[in-house]
Order: sequence, then structure tokens, then C-alpha cells
Amino acid sequence: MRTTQLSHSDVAGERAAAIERPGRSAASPGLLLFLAWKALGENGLSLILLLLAVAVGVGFQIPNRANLAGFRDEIMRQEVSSGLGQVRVRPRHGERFLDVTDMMASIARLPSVKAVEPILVLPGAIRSGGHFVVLGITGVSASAGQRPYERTAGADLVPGDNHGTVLGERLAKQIGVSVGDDVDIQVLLSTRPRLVLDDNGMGNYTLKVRGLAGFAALDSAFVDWGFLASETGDDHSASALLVWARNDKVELARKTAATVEHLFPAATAMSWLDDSRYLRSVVGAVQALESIAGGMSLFGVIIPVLSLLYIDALHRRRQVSLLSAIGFREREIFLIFFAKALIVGIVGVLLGAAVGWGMLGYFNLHPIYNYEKFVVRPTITFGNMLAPVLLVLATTALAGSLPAWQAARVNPSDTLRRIE
Amino acid sequence: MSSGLVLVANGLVRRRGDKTIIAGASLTLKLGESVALMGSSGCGKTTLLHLLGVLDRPGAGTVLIEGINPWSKGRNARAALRLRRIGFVFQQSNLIPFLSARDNVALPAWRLSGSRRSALAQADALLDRFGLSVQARAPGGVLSLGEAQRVATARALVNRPAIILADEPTGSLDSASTEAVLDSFDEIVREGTTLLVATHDSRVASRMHRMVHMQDGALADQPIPTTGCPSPFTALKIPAGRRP
Repeated sequence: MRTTQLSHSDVAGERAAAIERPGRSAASPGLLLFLAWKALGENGLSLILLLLAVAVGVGFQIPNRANLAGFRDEIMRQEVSSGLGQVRVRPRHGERFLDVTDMMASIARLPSVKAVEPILVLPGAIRSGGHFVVLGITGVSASAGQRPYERTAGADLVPGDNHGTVLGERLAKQIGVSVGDDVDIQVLLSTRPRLVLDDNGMGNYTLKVRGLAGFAALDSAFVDWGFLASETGDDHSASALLVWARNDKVELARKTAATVEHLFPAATAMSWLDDSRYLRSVVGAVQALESIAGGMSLFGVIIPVLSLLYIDALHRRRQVSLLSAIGFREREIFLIFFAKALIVGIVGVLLGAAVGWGMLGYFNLHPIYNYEKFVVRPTITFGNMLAPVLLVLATTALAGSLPAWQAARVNPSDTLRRIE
Repeated sequence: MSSGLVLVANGLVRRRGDKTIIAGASLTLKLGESVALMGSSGCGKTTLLHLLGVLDRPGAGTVLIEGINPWSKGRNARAALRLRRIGFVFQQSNLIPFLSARDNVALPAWRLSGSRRSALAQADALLDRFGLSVQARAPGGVLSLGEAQRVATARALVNRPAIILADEPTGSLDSASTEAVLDSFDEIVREGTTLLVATHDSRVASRMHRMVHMQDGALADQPIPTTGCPSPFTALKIPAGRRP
């Protein structure tokens, strides 16, 4: 062993220098991270379990959230954006507006409105061969860019088409027709028949199936609004005006509806959410499922992370006391343990995000629901990826803060007194 | 310190529940002095070391480290005092097991300076001095007890503290390891660091400048004539009725 002899005058000088020696008031982040990282690496099994808990939480949350969002988006697409629009305007009294020309022009000028189209729905029936179905016959504006249905086969109606119809896929199948076939349609044209009517005020037409429609229009029959309205004797009458807003947000729809009602007191205007109990139920159910699944996965993260880090903090009481004896502050000891939770959280969510991303790819190729054109594919958005990641990361940090706080409060004197 | 007093403890009292562990102990330690704190197991040696090392707060009495009363300061100031001016060596489980020997030694210096590189350089120098260069990269958990104690001694020294408090540092060691640790203590004292060693081993006590006996939480000073303390100094206060 090498020895070094110092004189007492040397020692006194060195001592004075030591007292005055500058130093950091707080530990460097690098030191705290180093200790956290090294401590994590000490127990491989515990580390793996911690990472698994976090990764599984994120890996489950991402596809779950995306699939639920996909389900809601598909419903919205079918029922709203490719359906009846975000705002539905109906006459406050009576069955229809007799002339919607001015009303449409006024509504179309609203800044929140993308399109406004009339529909005229009259009771009727459709027949082909031996099949006969009673239904509402819907007149839609053939010149409009926006339709309350999504065509899945054949051609669309064109303006002035007095001999064509678009049928819902399920209806066409039910009566055994396809694109190009003729169908017989009867329509109750109310009390003011204009053209060829039978004694009961019915319009009888033989129309050619131009195309087929899917989604929410599976059981519907559409004809040109201009044609149908003229058959009633009121060329510009409509049962309702369908308004498509700039986006699907219910707040915008409600605001637009309120404006329309203010402009036209004789009309009622309702947002898609207020107009449809079905959509209201779906949106509520999706939100509830998101909350329940999110809560379950958070519990799935918080319980193992909290338990493992709590046990770890108990196990390391002597090490904590040594750090305290060396001169580490309570806050720094807290930060070391908190950094461990953060490291676990960050690595875990990255692993989980990779797993979740892979599962999104799988569900995109193999949708969880695919029946009669209703296909639920995961909606992959930055928010759907980021929200579970941030939520689980925050949960992990929260779960790690309690053991860290406990570690920081270890009484070093009590712990060091025990021989372990 | 111009007076040469590194530590002055006066009338320390520590109770745990109804039991009085330290009953009015007073002790003064000078610069470069080595003192053996002797006494039977459970007599309060560890508690006294913790009070002197600012790990535990006395119920009554004062501790001055280089003239500073740590309990008049905040928690951060007390931590800073332990970091800069006090070194601890405990009986065992002294090291952070997942850190290498050199990282263990470097830890206080890294905490103080913020520079890992300079802290490791200091650690390497100390490990070399204590003949532990070969074990420098070994994890603290795999070192022998004797090696671990010497590494702990090096760690206690790395920030050049005013005083080292050692609690039964050779209690679990064989003779050879005990000698190695005591040699390192001799070196520390030669360099002017004050050393207070709690022990019930007379071999350890005989290597110190003086000896203080502890019984039932009180202290009694006994100079050891054979060691030739450079400046024996006794500032001993025994509560009335407890003087042997």
C-alpha cells in the first residue's frame, strides 16, 4: 500500500480550501439518471415485469381506442356525412315546406355550412315480380354534390331523370333486382295529383334501377327530387332540408341549427346528435367503452408498477440511507426513484406503442367487424396513438411517485442501525 | 478552524420512546485526532455516531461541526454538510451493490462537483492508494468484506471531509482485513483527518490516539499512553451522578 505523508500545515491549508471549495448545490441530472438506470438493471426480472405491465397497457389501449374510434367514425360516416347531414331542418307545422328555394339559398350562405339539399319523402311501395315492399320513396336532388346515401354499384341519378331510381342493396336483394332491371313504384302523392293518377291519388311508375346504395340506405329507394316534387304539384316542396356542416362536431351543428331556427321560425332545426336517439346512444356507448377500457388498462398498469416499485423502495432502504449519509438530499433521492419510474414508463410505452402499431396493422387487414358494408377499421390518428402513450406514461409516473416519496422519507439513522 | 476543534458535542440526549439511549454525552474532537469510542453492544455507540454525523437529531444538547450547528440549518444544508465535511464507514452493507467499487468511491465527488470524469479520477487515485485498483470495476456486491470496508473508507475520504465516523468498521472482518482497514485509518489520520471509531475491539482502540468509553449512554474519556497522540485533548462532560 502506498502512503503519503502530509505536514499539519499542509493539512490546515487543504482543509481551509476544502471548506471553501465550490460545489453543486443540487445533484447533476446525469448522476440521478445514472443511479436510476443502474438500480433498474440490478433486478432483471423486476425490470421485465415493470416493462411488460406498461407495454401491455399501451399495446392494449392503442388498438382498442383506434377500433372504438373506427366504429364511431363508421357510424358517423353512414348516418351523418354520407347520410342525413349534420343538421336536419323540418317544417314546424305540416308535412313539408311548399317552396324551399329561398330557404336553401339563405342556409347555404351560412359560413358553417358546406352544402344544403332538399329531400322529399312520400309513402309508397316497390314491386318486382312477386316481391312487394312498402316503404318511403325519397326524392333527392340529382344535381347535388352531396347525397344522403353512398352509391356502391351502377350509376347515380342525373338531373331530369324521370325514369331512374337508386335502390338500397338490401332492398334490391329482397325484391330480386339489380342494376339495369325495371321496378314498379307506387307513390302516394297527397291530395294534389298532377300527372297520371289512379282513383286513390297514387302515382304509378316503372323505373329502371340505375345504381345501388349501401350503408344507412340499404333499405331505401331514391328518385330525382325534381321529378317527385313536380309529381306532387309543388315543384320546390321538400319534407326536410339536409345541411352538411364544415365538420362533424356537434357544437358546430347545434350552433348552425340555432341560426337556422332564428332565420326561419317556421322551421325546426336539429343537430345530428339531438335528432337521432340511435346516434346519441352510439356516441354515449363508445365514450363509456373508451372510459371503461381505458380505466381497466390504467389499473392494469398502476397496480403492478406501484407494487413493484414500492417493494423496490422497501428493499433499497439501506441504499437510500447510505445516499443520505453521503449527502444526497431527500429531493434527489425522490428524483432517483421517480426517474426509475419514468425510464420504465418511457421504455415501456415505446415497446407498447410498437406492439400497438403492429396490432393496428393487423386490424386494418382483418377488421374486427365486417357485415353488410359496415366495416370497422381502426381510425389511426396522431391523437389515438399519443393519448394512450401519454396516459400510460403519466400513470406510470404517478404510480412511481408514491414509492419515490416513501424512499425519500426513509430515516437513515433507523435503517443504518439495522445490520442487513 | 482556527481553534483546531473539528467537532464539539455538548450535553447530547436521545430518547426512543421511554428509553434514554444517550444521556447528556459531550465530546470534543480536534483536527487530526483519532478516537476510539468503546462500549458494549447496545450501549448507544451507533446512536451517538448518528447524532455526531447529523443523521439523527438530538433530543437535547448541541453538535457543532467546524463551528456550525447543523440543526439550526435546513435539511439541504445538513445534507451539504454531510457531503463536504463528514465521511461515514459502517460495519457492513456499506456499498451500493449495483455500482462498481470506483463508482461507489466516486459517488460523493460526482455529487459534489457534478463531473463524473473528475470524480472517477479521484476515485481511481484513492483505490490505487488503498491497493484496490484490481477491484475497481468489480460491483460492490461481490467484494470481500475487507475490500468493501476499504472501498467504503476511500469513499468516505473522497471529498476530503473534516471528520470520519466509523461504526464497528472491523466488526465483521478477519485479522488480515482488520489490519488493512486499520492501516488505511492510520493513513487518514496522518493526513490530518479526524477519526472517530466506534468499536469494542481493543486492537482497534489501541491504534487510536485516545479512547472514550460509553456506558448507559454516557461517556468517560481514557487516554491511551502507548499511541502518543500528537495533541491529546479531552473535553468531556459526564452528567452528574454518572461519573465512574
